[in-house]
Amino acid sequence: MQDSDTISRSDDVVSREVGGETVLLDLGQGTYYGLNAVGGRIWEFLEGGDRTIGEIIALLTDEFDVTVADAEADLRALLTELEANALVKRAV
Amino acid sequence: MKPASSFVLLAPGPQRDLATDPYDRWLSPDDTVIAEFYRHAGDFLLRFPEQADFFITRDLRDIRCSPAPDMDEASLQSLFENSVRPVLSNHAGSLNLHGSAVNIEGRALAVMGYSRRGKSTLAGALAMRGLPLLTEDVLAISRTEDRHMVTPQRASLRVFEDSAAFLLGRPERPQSESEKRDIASGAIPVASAPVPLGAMCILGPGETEELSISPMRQSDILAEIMQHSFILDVEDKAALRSHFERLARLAEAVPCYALDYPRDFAQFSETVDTIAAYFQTEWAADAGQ
Repeated sequence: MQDSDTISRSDDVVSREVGGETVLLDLGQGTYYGLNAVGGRIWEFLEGGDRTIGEIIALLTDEFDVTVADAEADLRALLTELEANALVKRAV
Repeated sequence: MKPASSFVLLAPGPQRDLATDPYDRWLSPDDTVIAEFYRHAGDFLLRFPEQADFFITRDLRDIRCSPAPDMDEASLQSLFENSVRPVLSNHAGSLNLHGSAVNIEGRALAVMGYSRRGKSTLAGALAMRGLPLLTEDVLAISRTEDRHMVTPQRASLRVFEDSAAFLLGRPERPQSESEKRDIASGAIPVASAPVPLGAMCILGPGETEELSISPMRQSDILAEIMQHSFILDVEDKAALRSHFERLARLAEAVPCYALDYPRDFAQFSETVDTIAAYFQTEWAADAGQ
């Protein structure tokens, strides 16, 4: 997973923020995923178009009190899980 | 799109093998097939194994039922009211969930959970304490400007034999563990008017020694109540998105509790009293404010 890789939401996912958390429903599989506040914000960053991993890291460090290394580690962990569940698409 | 409110009864006959695989199925906790959903020449076919096939046109306006031999009319009507009608109604934009409800202090307490977790038995036990039964199996929820209302459904309660014996205060007879029986509507108080939905409870598996009533987070509520929905076409993404939004609004507006207790008839009366008192106290206090 490189900083230049492009991430986008899967077309088959609908999301809704409820009670400060984001719930994702995979319409294809009928399964649900919950994102915490930071995960929900990352999901929001992907609204309306693609983002590179580098762009998302920059947005996270601008908005949250977090180091680049921590933001990168958290983002990679989340994207790995979302990609494994086909909730996001990654273009190299 | 307004679904038909009744069905045309065809001649009974055995269910034929179909050339295609179902696009969806409902399974019981032990993986028994409860219903299968097929596409049939552009329309829908809902098959309830060894019970009936319902042929439904794409516009939901024409429903024909081909019953299996030996299915009586009352069972067919129950199948239609408790399974087919809510599925079609949800597809047309309504909100029906699988669950029971009683009226406590002018509000509906809804009980949801997987099959055989005791929804009907708990609702029946609450009703036997004078809290009128709103519905046994289908929560028909309508949204007004500021509230979600629950409309009473047919006045009936279907429970397993041991639950029926407990509710009616009669000694247990040799019981069937796989078949439910109807408790006559005259034996339980039933509600006749819609009331606002006050709270939802999700029944746990009963692997506990103590009663617990714990508030749930809204995100967990949304994920949970989606599992107790009636969905006709899991491949119709527009309809699913709309349904998801209706459920999200419900999760935001109505509190929901994880409810669990030991499934032991020796303790059940006390458990039911505690559950009733919990919500009576909470809602009576709200009414006094």
